[in-house]
Amino acid sequence: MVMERNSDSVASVASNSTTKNRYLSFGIGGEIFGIEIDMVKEIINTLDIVHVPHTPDYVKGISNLRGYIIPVIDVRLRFLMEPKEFTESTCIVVIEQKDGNIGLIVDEVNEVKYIDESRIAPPPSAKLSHINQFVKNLGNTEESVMLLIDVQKLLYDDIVER
Amino acid sequence: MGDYDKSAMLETFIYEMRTLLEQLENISVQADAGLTSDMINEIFRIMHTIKGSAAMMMYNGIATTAHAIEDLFYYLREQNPEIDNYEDITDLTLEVTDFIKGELEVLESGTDPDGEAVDLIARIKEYVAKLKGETVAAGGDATTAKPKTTSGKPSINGKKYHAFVLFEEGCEMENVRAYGIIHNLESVASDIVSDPEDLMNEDTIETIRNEGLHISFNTELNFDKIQEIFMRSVFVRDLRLEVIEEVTAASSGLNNFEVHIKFQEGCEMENVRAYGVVHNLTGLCESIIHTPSNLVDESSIESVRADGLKMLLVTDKSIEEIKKLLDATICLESLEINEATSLAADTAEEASPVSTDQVQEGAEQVALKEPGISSSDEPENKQPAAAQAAGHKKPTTQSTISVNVGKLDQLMNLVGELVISESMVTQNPDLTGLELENFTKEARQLHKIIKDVQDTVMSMRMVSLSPTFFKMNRIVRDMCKTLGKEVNLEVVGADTEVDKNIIEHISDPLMHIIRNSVDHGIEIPENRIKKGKPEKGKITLEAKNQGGDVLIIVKDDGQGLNRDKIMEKAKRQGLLTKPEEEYSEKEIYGFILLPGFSTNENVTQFSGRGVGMDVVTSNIEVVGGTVIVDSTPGEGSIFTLKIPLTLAIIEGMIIKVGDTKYTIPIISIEKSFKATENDLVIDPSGNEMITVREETFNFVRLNKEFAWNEGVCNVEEGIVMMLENGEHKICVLVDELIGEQPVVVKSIPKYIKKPPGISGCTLLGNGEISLIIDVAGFFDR
Repeated sequence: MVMERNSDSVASVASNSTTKNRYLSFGIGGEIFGIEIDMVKEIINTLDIVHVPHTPDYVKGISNLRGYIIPVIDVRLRFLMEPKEFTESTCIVVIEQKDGNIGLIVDEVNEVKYIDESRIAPPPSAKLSHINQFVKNLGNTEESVMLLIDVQKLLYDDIVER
Repeated sequence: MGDYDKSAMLETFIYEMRTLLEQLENISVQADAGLTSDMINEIFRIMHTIKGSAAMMMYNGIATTAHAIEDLFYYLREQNPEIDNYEDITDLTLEVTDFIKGELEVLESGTDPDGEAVDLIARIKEYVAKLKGETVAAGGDATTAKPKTTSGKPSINGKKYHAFVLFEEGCEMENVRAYGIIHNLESVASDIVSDPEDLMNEDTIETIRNEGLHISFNTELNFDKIQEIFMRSVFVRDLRLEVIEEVTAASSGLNNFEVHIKFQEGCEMENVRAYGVVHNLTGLCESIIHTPSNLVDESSIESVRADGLKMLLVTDKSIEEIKKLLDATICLESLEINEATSLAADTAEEASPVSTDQVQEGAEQVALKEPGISSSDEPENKQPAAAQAAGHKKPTTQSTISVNVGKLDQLMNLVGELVISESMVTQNPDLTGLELENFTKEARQLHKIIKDVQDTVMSMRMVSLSPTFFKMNRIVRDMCKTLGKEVNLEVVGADTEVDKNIIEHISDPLMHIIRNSVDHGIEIPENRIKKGKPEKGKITLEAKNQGGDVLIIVKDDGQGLNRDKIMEKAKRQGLLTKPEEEYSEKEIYGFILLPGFSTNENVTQFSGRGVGMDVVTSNIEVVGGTVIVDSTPGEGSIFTLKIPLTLAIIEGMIIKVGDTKYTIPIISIEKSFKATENDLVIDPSGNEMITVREETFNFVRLNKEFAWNEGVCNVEEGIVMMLENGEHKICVLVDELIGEQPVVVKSIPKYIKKPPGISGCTLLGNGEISLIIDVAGFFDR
């Protein structure tokens, strides 16, 4: 028991140091978004999605991920962007949440970026577009600005449409 | 016990307590009519175990409370006093169970229980004192005859004790535990001799496990104290503690038997056989005096062969038990057992060193007496001890093990995967069109095995309803006391089994229904007599299998439901969806299952607030069941719960609507048929109805229902399925039927709030997801 506990904590420290401040960047409608890499379970190509009736339209439905049923959300629709046909580059980012894994449909997945703490800043409050409700921080990289998504809000908040 | 990891033992402790308390409740509730000696023994045993376990876990509150009630039953058992009102005892016992239950809940919430039922203990003590007072007044000789009771337990000073300890099966490390006991004794006793002697030797583990531990020691402490020291030890299953020199026939209420055994001729080694007989009896008898006295010496062979083996037994066992035991002796030629009353006192008084001559004399004396003591001559009060001993003596072969439910669930899931994989392999698209005779044969065999595995796993999850049912006894009893009613609860088919997961959802609804029946259904005795009904109300709780369902029926002979009152209330609450006259009796009674619906004007302690009956519906619906209410005014009402046998794997019909495949549980399908446009009717509010054989049903187009505007719109192209849920029927339009197959029910991920009309999903053979249609959901709107 004691042994396990020790090794556990060592592992979590290690994973912290390697994943801290690292973000997965993905594109939707030309904008670059980012989420913390440690919540990302895997990135997969599109799956067959079965629509579940009487759900909000951004909930695309459920998918069979190797025997596990996961809900799949179309982030485009959540951002109130125009729906778009799936293409070669469309991906599902599977993230881990307390309710189980959830799939997020994004236009494309770019890379994993390290962004230093000093380069992360809250978004300017004046610029509160619909999308900005889901953005908790801005991350400045050399090339661009990454919108860091508040996943809790993205998944669970009842957002007033503007 | 500080060395033990408490949390690891806690789970076992709580589980064990729960089981014991449940048993206890069952027995206590039956005890109102009078306690049989079996019941007393059982309660005593349970309380004893509870006390032991609680003390072991150092929950003193529980231990002292259990101890108090144990004392009461000890007194009952030993003294067998006259009791006019058993209800007092039951009340006390139930209060104790409630107290312990409360403590367990505290425990489960993660804090240490510290409750002290001081008041309760005081009341129990008072009650015991009252009983004692009465008994002593009633008959002085009762106490003198059996002084080995709570009151008259002799405090023997500086006496030699002998203790025999058996440990619980599977407790492991018996030698260390034995050592622990002896260590505990060391501070209070001297001359401690144990058998086996060398406890630090691991070889003794087996010996102690099988034969128990014998300890003899001298001490100045009294019997109670010594017993307490022993019971403090962990895992003691059986303890027999006796004062070696003090045992006299008169003082311990024991039986004296004179036994004469003859072995078959030519069986050889008579002395060894005789020794075996004596050895078998050792544990059961307080003292054994046998002739010849030295059986180990070969010279005794002749004497045993010629005269047989004569024994004088002092034992608390009945004559039948001794006879049974001795009958099992190999090579037995003849067996004679007589009760040796007159002699017993003499022999016993002489106690240990009895000379052979004396015994022989005595034996011969007795042999002249009339033989043949029938069992009926046994005084009643000796039975308890015998019964208890028999209980302990039962060979405890372990035929059941307890398994973590999580593991069972996992196994069930795996079997589910297996079922799916099997169909994935055997119905693989690569195989279509191929002639595969051998493959098909083997596949069929595989299917058969998998089906068997599935059935076995399912059966492992099946649990009897009886604990749930017997819990209701308690509820009925408590309510009757408070409400001043008299109700007899009759339980039928309690051994019916349902899936473990389902049972958890049945208990609450059942409780509400029973409460409702006692509270609103059954009238008070005077009114019943006025109506010409028997004074005592009757509630029948019945369970039976019917097809793939279990029916649980609660029937009372009370006043029944008031149809008009329900209708009026439903109208007031705006629950009517169609003209009043169109409602059938059952539909009207069904209103009482809706949330917030109560016709009872008076809110009682038990029911009437309108919460409760909707719990019934919601709980039962969770497990895919339905509730049907029926009633005859003045004669009573019937609640029927219809529950599927199991949840995990169901037989499903796969249907197609547009591109999506849905699964409908076969159980819910009444029939499917082709219909024409002419069968359809549209009512004024725009709802579609369909006429089938002159009956009209609501008609639902699944493609519209699920907001997925694809699939056939023309009735004639699709297929109409009639679905039923309890009494309700509905017709739905689907594109096509694909086929029937067993499906493993998976839940819709939590993230998606339970969508109406969908109860879950399943994976089809090709990995496709199919949504399972919640037929009951169609009737909610």
